[in-house]
Amino acid sequence: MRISVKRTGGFAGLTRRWAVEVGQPELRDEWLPIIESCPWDDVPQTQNQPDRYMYRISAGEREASLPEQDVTGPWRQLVDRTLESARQEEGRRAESGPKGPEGFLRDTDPGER
Amino acid sequence: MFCSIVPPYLLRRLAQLDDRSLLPVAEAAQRALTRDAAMRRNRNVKRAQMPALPTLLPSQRIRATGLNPTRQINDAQNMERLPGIRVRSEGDGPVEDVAVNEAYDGLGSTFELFADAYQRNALDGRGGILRATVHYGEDYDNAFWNGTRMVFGDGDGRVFQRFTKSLSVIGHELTHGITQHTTNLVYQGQPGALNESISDVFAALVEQYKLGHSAEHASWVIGEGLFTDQVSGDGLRSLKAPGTAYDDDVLGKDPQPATMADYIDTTDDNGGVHLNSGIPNHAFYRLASILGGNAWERAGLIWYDTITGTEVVADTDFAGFAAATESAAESRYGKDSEELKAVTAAWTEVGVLE
Repeated sequence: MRISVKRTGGFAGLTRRWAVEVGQPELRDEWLPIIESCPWDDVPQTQNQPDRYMYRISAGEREASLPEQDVTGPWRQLVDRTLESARQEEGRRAESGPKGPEGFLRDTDPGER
Repeated sequence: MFCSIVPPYLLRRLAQLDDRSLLPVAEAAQRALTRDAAMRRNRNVKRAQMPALPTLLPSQRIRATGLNPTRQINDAQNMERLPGIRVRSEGDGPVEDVAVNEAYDGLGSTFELFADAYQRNALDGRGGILRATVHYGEDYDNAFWNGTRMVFGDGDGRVFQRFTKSLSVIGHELTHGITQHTTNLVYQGQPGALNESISDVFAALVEQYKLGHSAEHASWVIGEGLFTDQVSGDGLRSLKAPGTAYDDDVLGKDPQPATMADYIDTTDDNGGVHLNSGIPNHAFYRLASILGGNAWERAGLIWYDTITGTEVVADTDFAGFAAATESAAESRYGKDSEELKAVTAAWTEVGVLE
């Protein structure tokens, strides 16, 4: 399953994307419990606070957009885990492949719009 | 037409449809969301906060206003918990922590611009406490206004330095507080981009006032000094030349448009509030440069009159805001004034007025 996080806005207005492709058994054991506990169909309608981030989170077919202050509980777990996994993958790629100028801010999900 | 009966979550879904054939649906949903948000907001706005047309201020700026700020700086100790512990209060001397002192001083500079140039006593106009929290989160690359206080991250140290380092960031966040007490523009689409732009405009003026820079000599850059030396860029946004603040291998190029011809339709970033703000930002810059001299005087006063008047409400768009600045210029300087002509010319140049 493809899990992705797109973060837009913030004071700087810079967009960042992270994505991971997770297979079994890791998906079933570690990811699905978090994904299933996110209230995908009951996203709160809070207006964002000025200069906070907007998150667009997707897991397979499911997708939700929510302001930073609502990224709590299982949402936060899912986002943190996705970022961490994407960065680890990026780190592994950087070690085996040619070194980029600066891996830190490079999108790990250049394919997504 | 979408009515309120469509649940907001569905509107939000529709508004985010990527399928181009469904674009009209997405746009309509977006409009409905913006309007609904405006209505929700309006219900919460006490009408008392919409003052009657302000009486004209004296034409000469009064320096010794006798107004003084009340500041409180807290430290979140790198947790994402607010408000954090109090580390410096009004009248306390400097502490060892540079971020605390930068926040304290920046709050003071912002207070001074509004007090000296516009006789405004703090964010609420009644001398309310100015609150800031520093060291929010870990490597947090952001600063924001949470409705009560400004909150600053330390930056990651690779791309961004601490967010208190730039006075314009502090001026920007505090101005969100003023917006909350005046126009209360919704943070979505064009009203959201105006909300952002008003913060950028007064942030630039806070710096210019402190440095004594006229419109000609000012940098007009927001977030100068925030980037580490590994990033190619002057800052985050330029009012003088939107789209040119940075151009970097890693960050890419500053995406801001300067005119309506390049307006960006997007659902990201609350409808591109940090992108399309480039358009009203540039209109203000053009006004200030046509008039010349100190931008906080005539240009700034027209903008201040606009946001404290009655014409701009929570869901005002670019055209409505432009018309309100024309009204403000006419009330203060007259129907045949060079100020009114300059306002009209500025908005025409950016394509908001024809």
